[in-house]
Amino acid sequence: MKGLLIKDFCNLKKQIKLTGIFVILYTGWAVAMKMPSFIGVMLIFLSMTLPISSISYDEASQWYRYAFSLPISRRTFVLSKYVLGFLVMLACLVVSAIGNWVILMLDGTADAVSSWIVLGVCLEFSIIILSLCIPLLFQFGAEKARIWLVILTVAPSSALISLANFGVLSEFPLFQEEGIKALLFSSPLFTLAIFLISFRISVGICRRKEY
Amino acid sequence: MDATLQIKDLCKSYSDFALDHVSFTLPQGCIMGFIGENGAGKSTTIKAILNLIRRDQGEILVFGKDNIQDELEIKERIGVVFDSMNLPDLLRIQEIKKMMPSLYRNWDAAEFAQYVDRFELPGKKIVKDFSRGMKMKLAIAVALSHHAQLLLLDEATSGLDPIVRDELLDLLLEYIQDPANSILFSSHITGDLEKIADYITFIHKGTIRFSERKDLLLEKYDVLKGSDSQLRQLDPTAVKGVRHNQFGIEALVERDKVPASWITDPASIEDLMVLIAKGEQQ
Repeated sequence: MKGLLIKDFCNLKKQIKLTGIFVILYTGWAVAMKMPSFIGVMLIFLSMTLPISSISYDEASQWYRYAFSLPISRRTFVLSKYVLGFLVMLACLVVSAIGNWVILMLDGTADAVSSWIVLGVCLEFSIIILSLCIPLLFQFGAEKARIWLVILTVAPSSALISLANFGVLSEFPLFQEEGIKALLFSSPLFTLAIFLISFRISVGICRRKEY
Repeated sequence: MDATLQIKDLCKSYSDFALDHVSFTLPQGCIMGFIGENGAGKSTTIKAILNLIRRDQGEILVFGKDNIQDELEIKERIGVVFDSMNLPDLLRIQEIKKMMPSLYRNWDAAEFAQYVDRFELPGKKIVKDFSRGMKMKLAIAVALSHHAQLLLLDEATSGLDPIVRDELLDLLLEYIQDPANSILFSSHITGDLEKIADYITFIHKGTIRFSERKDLLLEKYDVLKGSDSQLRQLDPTAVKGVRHNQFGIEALVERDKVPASWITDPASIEDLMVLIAKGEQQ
């Protein structure tokens, strides 16, 4: 798997540099605005950008056909894409945590617990998005997967926001204070379950496909 | 002689094409030319060997082992070159050097460096900027740098100029000097195969038409250019393919079964392929 990751990082070198600059500028901006939630959004966004690019490049150079003629199992190949996503996520998380910490230092009135919770929730969202993204990429290819990803993320989010705006959500026990607390406590397990299911689905897709 | 590759009754169906009970054997230490027109099933067969596609039926043994059950072990000992160079476009030689040792247990960095020098591959350019010849040389350098004992070449020389093709053929002849090594070389450039192949396997519309030693094939068949009446005088089993043209007929015939007084030309590999394929169409 190390070889696959080396290949991905070398292939994405230019994009990683640009992403690094973007992360630093964006974090700086979020710090200046004292808006820690902005940093969390960046985490979600970037965790899917690089795996999508990686798979787009693989498709363009017909890498799958070659990769599966090497002594690499399809499971290892799939795992390498998740690891790539996690490594990107980890790097963004470190920058986000530093940004959040700086904001808390600068703004004595900020609610530290809430801001760390927001960052944690964003991390979970990132893992969920990555878990959604990779099977779609393997099943449909980079071009079509982007469309599916938009449909599967934007549609439910818009529906939830609309329901919240109309005050419908607050009527459900799950979205009242106790329900939200329970949701927060159970979310790591829920996220882990989604991740594991996603990995199994991706391996299944990759094993079933012909290249 | 041990078999490096044995394919028995391989079947694979698509909506518009099928591999139909494909069987042949590549003995150890030999080069087998795998010929056939575009879409005949050469690449599909190679993909089945590499388990890139699922077979419907049949058995594929590489080094005596099943290509699915012992897939990774077998792939450590196979070098593959496809018609296009599939290494990622944005990599440089240095990065390939870093990546490959983690992909092959037997990666030989010194061997790869020697091929890079020999082929004068540019270290600073990304793969995307290589010429087609350079890309194929790089693909072959990678395929030969982990002590592979079976080389699978799928149209690896098509689109290359004659000088580069000749260089690559010399390299393959060097590789085959080791009696443990074997090559399955799919191509429709029959001239290349005539130069280096020991065996020729011809696939047409998904079925194997022959798989024999090249010298035996060339000894056995002639091309008869004559008339329909001449053809009618021959034992039908002696005629393997006929093409009608405005001057008469061109037929692939068994040399021993043709009257000695008739004028025939020795058949080339291309004649074998074209006359059998065209003959069927007509």
